[in-house]
Amino acid sequence: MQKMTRVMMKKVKTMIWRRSKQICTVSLEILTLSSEFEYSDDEDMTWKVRKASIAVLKAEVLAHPESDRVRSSIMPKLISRINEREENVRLSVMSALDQIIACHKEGMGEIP
Amino acid sequence: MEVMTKKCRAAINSEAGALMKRLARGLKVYEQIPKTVTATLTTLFGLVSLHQEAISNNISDVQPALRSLSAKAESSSSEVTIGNTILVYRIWAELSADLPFSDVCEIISLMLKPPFERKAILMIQRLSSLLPMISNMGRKELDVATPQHVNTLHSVHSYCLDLFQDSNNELEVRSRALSVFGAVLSVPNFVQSQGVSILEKGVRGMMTCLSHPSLNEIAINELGLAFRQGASGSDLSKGTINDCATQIIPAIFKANKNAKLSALEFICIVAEK
Repeated sequence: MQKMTRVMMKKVKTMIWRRSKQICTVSLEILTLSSEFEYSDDEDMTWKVRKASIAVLKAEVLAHPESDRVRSSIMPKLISRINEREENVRLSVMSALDQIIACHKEGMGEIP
Repeated sequence: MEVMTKKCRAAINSEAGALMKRLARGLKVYEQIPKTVTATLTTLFGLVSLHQEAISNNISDVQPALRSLSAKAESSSSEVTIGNTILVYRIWAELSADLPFSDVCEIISLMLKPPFERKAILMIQRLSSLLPMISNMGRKELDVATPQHVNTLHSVHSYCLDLFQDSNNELEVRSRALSVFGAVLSVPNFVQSQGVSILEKGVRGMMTCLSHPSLNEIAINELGLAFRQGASGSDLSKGTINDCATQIIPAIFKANKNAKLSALEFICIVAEK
Protein backbone atom coordinates (compact mmCIF):
# COMPACT_ATOMS: atom_id res chain seq x y z
CA MET A 1 0.00 0.00 0.00
CA GLN A 2 2.80 2.39 1.01
CA LYS A 3 4.71 1.57 -2.15
CA MET A 4 1.63 2.30 -4.23
CA THR A 5 1.14 5.68 -2.53
CA ARG A 6 4.76 6.55 -3.16
CA VAL A 7 4.47 5.66 -6.86
CA MET A 8 1.29 7.72 -7.15
CA MET A 9 2.87 10.71 -5.43
CA LYS A 10 5.80 10.52 -7.81
CA LYS A 11 3.44 10.46 -10.80
CA VAL A 12 1.51 13.48 -9.48
CA LYS A 13 4.74 15.38 -8.90
CA THR A 14 5.94 14.62 -12.43
CA MET A 15 2.61 15.77 -13.83
CA ILE A 16 2.74 19.06 -11.88
CA TRP A 17 6.35 19.56 -12.92
CA ARG A 18 5.44 19.10 -16.60
CA ARG A 19 2.48 21.45 -16.36
CA SER A 20 4.49 24.08 -14.51
CA LYS A 21 7.02 23.90 -17.33
CA GLN A 22 4.26 24.63 -19.85
CA ILE A 23 2.76 27.44 -17.76
CA CYS A 24 6.18 29.06 -17.39
CA THR A 25 6.82 28.84 -21.11
CA VAL A 26 3.49 30.56 -21.78
CA SER A 27 4.25 33.26 -19.17
CA LEU A 28 7.65 33.90 -20.70
CA GLU A 29 6.07 34.14 -24.15
CA ILE A 30 3.49 36.63 -22.91
CA LEU A 31 6.23 38.86 -21.53
CA THR A 32 8.20 38.60 -24.76
CA LEU A 33 5.20 39.27 -27.00
CA SER A 34 3.80 42.16 -24.97
CA SER A 35 7.06 44.07 -25.34
CA GLU A 36 6.66 43.94 -29.13
CA PHE A 37 3.29 45.74 -29.22
CA GLU A 38 2.68 49.39 -28.69
CA TYR A 39 -0.63 50.52 -27.20
CA SER A 40 -1.88 53.93 -26.32
CA ASP A 41 -2.48 54.34 -22.57
CA ASP A 42 -6.30 54.27 -22.92
CA GLU A 43 -6.64 50.89 -24.53
CA ASP A 44 -3.73 49.16 -22.87
CA MET A 45 -5.01 46.53 -20.48
CA THR A 46 -2.25 44.05 -21.26
CA TRP A 47 -0.40 45.04 -18.12
CA LYS A 48 -2.80 42.85 -16.14
CA VAL A 49 -1.65 39.82 -18.13
CA ARG A 50 1.99 40.78 -17.72
CA LYS A 51 1.51 41.21 -13.99
CA ALA A 52 -0.08 37.78 -13.72
CA SER A 53 2.72 36.25 -15.80
CA ILE A 54 5.26 37.72 -13.46
CA ALA A 55 3.40 36.26 -10.48
CA VAL A 56 3.56 32.82 -12.16
CA LEU A 57 7.28 33.14 -12.83
CA LYS A 58 7.89 34.27 -9.25
CA ALA A 59 6.05 31.21 -7.95
CA GLU A 60 8.13 28.99 -10.20
CA VAL A 61 11.40 30.49 -9.02
CA LEU A 62 10.41 30.12 -5.38
CA ALA A 63 9.22 26.56 -5.87
CA HIS A 64 12.20 25.38 -7.95
CA PRO A 65 15.13 27.71 -7.33
CA GLU A 66 17.48 24.92 -8.38
CA SER A 67 15.96 24.62 -11.85
CA ASP A 68 18.19 25.56 -14.78
CA ARG A 69 15.22 27.34 -16.32
CA VAL A 70 15.44 29.96 -13.57
CA ARG A 71 18.97 30.85 -14.55
CA SER A 72 18.61 30.57 -18.30
CA SER A 73 15.22 32.19 -18.95
CA ILE A 74 13.25 33.46 -15.95
CA MET A 75 15.83 35.68 -14.25
CA PRO A 76 16.93 37.38 -17.52
CA LYS A 77 13.28 37.93 -18.48
CA LEU A 78 12.40 39.47 -15.11
CA ILE A 79 15.47 41.69 -15.24
CA SER A 80 14.58 42.83 -18.74
CA ARG A 81 11.17 44.02 -17.44
CA ILE A 82 12.58 46.23 -14.65
CA ASN A 83 12.06 49.31 -16.76
CA GLU A 84 8.52 48.31 -17.74
CA ARG A 85 6.26 51.26 -18.64
CA GLU A 86 3.36 50.33 -16.34
CA GLU A 87 4.10 51.05 -12.67
CA ASN A 88 2.02 48.16 -11.36
CA VAL A 89 4.01 45.66 -13.39
CA ARG A 90 7.28 47.36 -12.54
CA LEU A 91 6.54 47.01 -8.82
CA SER A 92 5.62 43.33 -9.31
CA VAL A 93 8.92 42.69 -11.07
CA MET A 94 10.82 44.34 -8.22
CA SER A 95 8.88 42.39 -5.64
CA ALA A 96 9.60 39.13 -7.50
CA LEU A 97 13.31 39.93 -7.66
CA ASP A 98 13.26 40.87 -3.97
CA GLN A 99 11.81 37.52 -3.04
CA ILE A 100 14.28 35.65 -5.22
CA ILE A 101 17.14 37.45 -3.51
CA ALA A 102 15.60 36.81 -0.08
CA CYS A 103 15.16 33.14 -0.99
CA HIS A 104 18.79 33.05 -2.05
CA LYS A 105 19.78 34.62 1.27
CA GLU A 106 17.91 31.97 3.16
CA GLY A 107 19.93 29.57 1.10
CA MET A 108 17.46 26.74 0.74
CA GLY A 109 14.89 28.22 -1.58
CA GLU A 110 11.98 28.17 0.84
CA ILE A 111 9.10 30.51 0.18
CA PRO A 112 9.63 33.45 2.57
CA MET B 1 20.55 20.70 -0.69
CA GLU B 2 24.00 22.11 -1.26
CA VAL B 3 23.59 21.70 -5.01
CA MET B 4 20.33 23.64 -4.80
CA THR B 5 22.00 26.51 -2.96
CA LYS B 6 24.88 26.53 -5.41
CA LYS B 7 22.54 26.66 -8.39
CA CYS B 8 20.46 29.40 -6.82
CA ARG B 9 23.62 31.37 -6.08
CA ALA B 10 24.85 30.83 -9.61
CA ALA B 11 21.53 32.12 -10.99
CA ILE B 12 21.87 35.41 -9.12
CA ASN B 13 25.61 35.64 -9.66
CA SER B 14 25.32 35.22 -13.41
CA GLU B 15 22.67 37.93 -13.65
CA ALA B 16 23.99 40.31 -10.98
CA GLY B 17 25.81 42.56 -13.43
CA ALA B 18 22.78 42.98 -15.69
CA LEU B 19 20.52 43.50 -12.69
CA MET B 20 22.75 46.20 -11.20
CA LYS B 21 22.83 48.02 -14.55
CA ARG B 22 19.03 47.89 -14.89
CA LEU B 23 18.50 49.05 -11.31
CA ALA B 24 20.89 51.95 -11.82
CA ARG B 25 19.01 52.95 -14.96
CA GLY B 26 15.70 52.59 -13.13
CA LEU B 27 16.87 54.90 -10.35
CA LYS B 28 17.79 57.51 -12.92
CA VAL B 29 14.70 57.23 -15.12
CA TYR B 30 12.09 56.95 -12.36
CA GLU B 31 13.74 59.42 -9.98
CA GLN B 32 10.48 61.37 -9.72
CA ILE B 33 8.34 58.36 -8.79
CA PRO B 34 8.96 57.61 -5.09
CA LYS B 35 7.20 54.21 -5.13
CA THR B 36 9.40 52.89 -7.93
CA VAL B 37 12.49 54.35 -6.29
CA THR B 38 11.56 52.57 -3.03
CA ALA B 39 11.09 49.24 -4.83
CA THR B 40 14.35 49.68 -6.74
CA LEU B 41 16.29 50.60 -3.61
CA THR B 42 14.81 47.65 -1.70
CA THR B 43 15.92 45.24 -4.44
CA LEU B 44 19.31 46.89 -4.62
CA PHE B 45 19.73 46.63 -0.85
CA GLY B 46 18.91 42.91 -0.95
CA LEU B 47 21.37 42.43 -3.78
CA VAL B 48 24.30 44.32 -2.26
CA SER B 49 23.83 42.64 1.10
CA LEU B 50 24.71 39.33 -0.62
CA HIS B 51 28.28 40.65 -1.04
CA GLN B 52 28.96 38.54 -4.12
CA GLU B 53 31.90 39.12 -6.38
CA ALA B 54 29.75 39.86 -9.41
CA ILE B 55 27.95 42.54 -7.39
CA SER B 56 31.14 44.11 -6.02
CA ASN B 57 32.50 44.37 -9.57
CA ASN B 58 29.47 46.33 -10.70
CA ILE B 59 29.15 48.80 -7.82
CA SER B 60 30.32 51.61 -10.09
CA ASP B 61 27.08 51.30 -12.09
CA VAL B 62 24.85 52.27 -9.19
CA GLN B 63 27.16 54.72 -7.43
CA PRO B 64 26.25 57.83 -9.48
CA ALA B 65 22.51 57.29 -8.98
CA LEU B 66 22.95 56.72 -5.25
CA ARG B 67 25.17 59.79 -4.95
CA SER B 68 22.57 61.88 -6.68
CA LEU B 69 19.90 60.61 -4.28
CA SER B 70 22.16 61.21 -1.27
CA ALA B 71 22.91 64.73 -2.37
CA LYS B 72 19.23 65.54 -2.75
CA ALA B 73 18.06 63.73 0.38
CA GLU B 74 17.13 65.62 3.51
CA SER B 75 16.88 69.09 2.05
CA SER B 76 13.51 70.56 2.95
CA SER B 77 12.42 70.85 -0.69
CA SER B 78 13.63 67.38 -1.60
CA GLU B 79 11.37 64.88 -3.34
CA VAL B 80 13.39 62.01 -1.82
CA THR B 81 11.24 60.53 0.92
CA ILE B 82 12.49 59.63 4.40
CA GLY B 83 12.06 55.92 3.67
CA ASN B 84 14.16 56.20 0.53
CA THR B 85 16.84 58.20 2.33
CA ILE B 86 17.04 55.47 4.96
CA LEU B 87 17.38 52.83 2.23
CA VAL B 88 20.17 54.82 0.57
CA TYR B 89 22.04 54.99 3.90
CA ARG B 90 21.61 51.26 4.43
CA ILE B 91 22.92 50.52 0.93
CA TRP B 92 25.93 52.74 1.51
CA ALA B 93 26.68 50.87 4.73
CA GLU B 94 26.60 47.53 2.87
CA LEU B 95 28.63 48.83 -0.06
CA SER B 96 31.28 50.45 2.11
CA ALA B 97 32.85 47.05 2.87
CA ASP B 98 33.69 46.63 -0.84
CA LEU B 99 34.72 50.21 -1.60
CA PRO B 100 38.13 51.89 -1.35
CA PHE B 101 38.61 54.29 1.58
CA SER B 102 38.62 57.34 -0.66
CA ASP B 103 35.12 56.45 -1.89
CA VAL B 104 33.92 55.76 1.65
CA CYS B 105 35.23 59.18 2.72
CA GLU B 106 33.33 60.79 -0.13
CA ILE B 107 30.14 58.98 0.88
CA ILE B 108 30.53 60.04 4.51
CA SER B 109 31.00 63.65 3.40
CA LEU B 110 27.80 63.38 1.37
CA MET B 111 25.93 61.95 4.34
CA LEU B 112 27.11 64.70 6.65
CA LYS B 113 26.61 67.52 4.20
CA PRO B 114 24.34 70.10 5.80
CA PRO B 115 21.63 71.22 5.84
CA PHE B 116 19.87 68.07 6.97
CA GLU B 117 16.68 67.75 8.88
CA ARG B 118 17.16 66.80 12.51
CA LYS B 119 14.63 63.99 12.38
CA ALA B 120 15.55 61.35 14.94
CA ILE B 121 14.81 58.44 12.59
CA LEU B 122 17.21 59.81 9.99
CA MET B 123 19.89 60.61 12.53
CA ILE B 124 19.66 57.08 13.92
CA GLN B 125 19.98 55.51 10.47
CA ARG B 126 22.80 57.84 9.50
CA LEU B 127 24.72 56.87 12.64
CA SER B 128 23.95 53.17 12.17
CA SER B 129 25.39 53.35 8.66
CA LEU B 130 28.38 55.38 9.75
CA LEU B 131 29.37 52.81 12.38
CA PRO B 132 30.35 49.95 10.01
CA MET B 133 32.06 52.42 7.68
CA ILE B 134 34.24 53.81 10.47
CA SER B 135 34.78 50.37 12.02
CA ASN B 136 36.05 49.12 8.64
CA MET B 137 38.55 51.94 8.59
CA GLY B 138 39.66 50.92 12.08
CA ARG B 139 40.03 47.27 11.12
CA LYS B 140 41.97 47.78 7.92
CA GLU B 141 44.82 49.81 9.31
CA LEU B 142 45.43 52.94 7.28
CA ASP B 143 49.06 52.95 6.22
CA VAL B 144 48.99 56.62 5.48
CA ALA B 145 46.35 58.87 7.01
CA THR B 146 45.67 61.13 4.01
CA PRO B 147 44.18 64.61 4.50
CA GLN B 148 40.91 63.27 3.03
CA HIS B 149 40.71 60.50 5.66
CA VAL B 150 41.61 62.84 8.48
CA ASN B 151 39.11 65.49 7.38
CA THR B 152 36.34 62.92 7.08
CA LEU B 153 37.05 61.43 10.49
CA HIS B 154 37.29 64.90 11.93
CA SER B 155 33.84 65.81 10.61
CA VAL B 156 32.35 62.58 12.03
CA HIS B 157 34.10 63.31 15.33
CA SER B 158 32.57 66.80 15.57
CA TYR B 159 29.15 65.60 14.39
CA CYS B 160 28.97 62.83 17.00
CA LEU B 161 30.41 64.98 19.80
CA ASP B 162 27.61 67.51 19.24
CA LEU B 163 24.96 64.82 19.10
CA PHE B 164 25.75 62.88 22.25
CA GLN B 165 26.41 65.98 24.34
CA ASP B 166 23.09 67.55 23.40
CA SER B 167 20.54 66.42 26.00
CA ASN B 168 17.69 67.48 23.67
CA ASN B 169 18.46 64.56 21.40
CA GLU B 170 16.73 61.23 21.79
CA LEU B 171 18.50 58.63 23.88
CA GLU B 172 18.93 56.28 20.92
CA VAL B 173 20.57 59.06 18.91
CA ARG B 174 22.93 59.90 21.75
CA SER B 175 23.93 56.31 22.41
CA ARG B 176 24.58 55.60 18.73
CA ALA B 177 26.56 58.81 18.43
CA LEU B 178 28.69 57.65 21.37
CA SER B 179 29.37 54.31 19.67
CA VAL B 180 30.39 55.98 16.40
CA PHE B 181 32.51 58.45 18.35
CA GLY B 182 34.33 55.57 20.06
CA ALA B 183 34.90 53.96 16.65
CA VAL B 184 36.42 57.20 15.31
CA LEU B 185 38.86 57.37 18.20
CA SER B 186 39.84 53.75 17.55
CA VAL B 187 40.94 54.36 13.96
CA PRO B 188 44.71 53.94 14.03
CA ASN B 189 46.68 57.01 12.95
CA PHE B 190 43.72 59.35 13.48
CA VAL B 191 44.49 60.41 17.05
CA GLN B 192 48.21 60.41 16.30
CA SER B 193 47.73 62.64 13.27
CA GLN B 194 45.48 65.07 15.16
CA GLY B 195 47.46 65.28 18.36
CA VAL B 196 46.40 64.50 21.90
CA SER B 197 44.05 67.49 22.05
CA ILE B 198 41.41 65.62 20.01
CA LEU B 199 41.58 62.69 22.45
CA GLU B 200 41.33 65.04 25.44
CA LYS B 201 38.31 66.71 23.89
CA GLY B 202 36.73 63.34 23.21
CA VAL B 203 37.40 61.93 26.67
CA ARG B 204 36.03 65.07 28.33
CA GLY B 205 32.97 64.88 26.09
CA MET B 206 32.33 61.26 26.99
CA MET B 207 32.77 62.05 30.68
CA THR B 208 29.59 64.16 30.50
CA CYS B 209 27.63 60.97 29.78
CA LEU B 210 28.99 59.06 32.77
CA SER B 211 26.27 60.33 35.07
CA HIS B 212 23.46 59.43 32.64
CA PRO B 213 21.69 56.24 33.78
CA SER B 214 21.24 54.91 30.22
CA LEU B 215 24.37 56.22 28.56
CA ASN B 216 26.94 55.42 31.22
CA GLU B 217 27.48 51.85 30.03
CA ILE B 218 28.42 52.91 26.49
CA ALA B 219 30.37 55.88 27.84
CA ILE B 220 32.40 53.60 30.13
CA ASN B 221 33.09 51.16 27.28
CA GLU B 222 34.12 53.91 24.87
CA LEU B 223 36.27 55.62 27.48
CA GLY B 224 38.01 52.32 28.11
CA LEU B 225 38.59 52.06 24.36
CA ALA B 226 40.02 55.57 24.22
CA PHE B 227 42.37 54.79 27.10
CA ARG B 228 43.38 51.51 25.50
CA GLN B 229 44.72 53.49 22.55
CA GLY B 230 48.11 52.67 24.07
CA ALA B 231 50.62 55.39 23.45
CA SER B 232 47.98 58.00 22.74
CA GLY B 233 46.22 57.24 26.01
CA SER B 234 49.38 57.76 28.00
CA ASP B 235 49.71 61.21 26.42
CA LEU B 236 46.53 62.38 28.14
CA SER B 237 47.10 65.09 30.71
CA LYS B 238 47.19 64.15 34.39
CA GLY B 239 44.21 66.46 34.95
CA THR B 240 41.99 64.58 32.47
CA ILE B 241 43.02 61.18 33.85
CA ASN B 242 42.31 62.37 37.42
CA ASP B 243 38.91 63.83 36.46
CA CYS B 244 38.01 60.63 34.70
CA ALA B 245 38.97 58.50 37.69
CA THR B 246 36.94 60.74 40.00
CA GLN B 247 33.84 60.64 37.84
CA ILE B 248 33.87 56.96 37.07
CA ILE B 249 33.54 55.87 40.71
CA PRO B 250 30.03 57.29 41.28
CA ALA B 251 29.12 56.01 37.80
CA ILE B 252 29.86 52.45 38.92
CA PHE B 253 27.02 52.59 41.46
CA LYS B 254 24.53 53.63 38.78
CA ALA B 255 25.76 51.18 36.20
CA ASN B 256 24.37 47.73 35.53
CA LYS B 257 26.38 44.54 35.89
CA ASN B 258 28.06 44.66 32.46
CA ALA B 259 28.98 48.31 32.84
CA LYS B 260 30.29 47.65 36.35
CA LEU B 261 32.71 45.10 34.94
CA SER B 262 33.78 47.52 32.20
CA ALA B 263 34.18 50.26 34.81
CA LEU B 264 36.41 48.11 36.99
CA GLU B 265 38.50 47.20 33.96
CA PHE B 266 38.64 50.89 33.11
CA ILE B 267 39.81 51.80 36.63
CA CYS B 268 42.64 49.30 36.24
CA ILE B 269 43.68 51.02 33.00
CA VAL B 270 43.53 54.43 34.69
CA ALA B 271 45.51 53.13 37.68
CA GLU B 272 48.27 51.99 35.32
CA LYS B 273 48.63 55.46 33.84
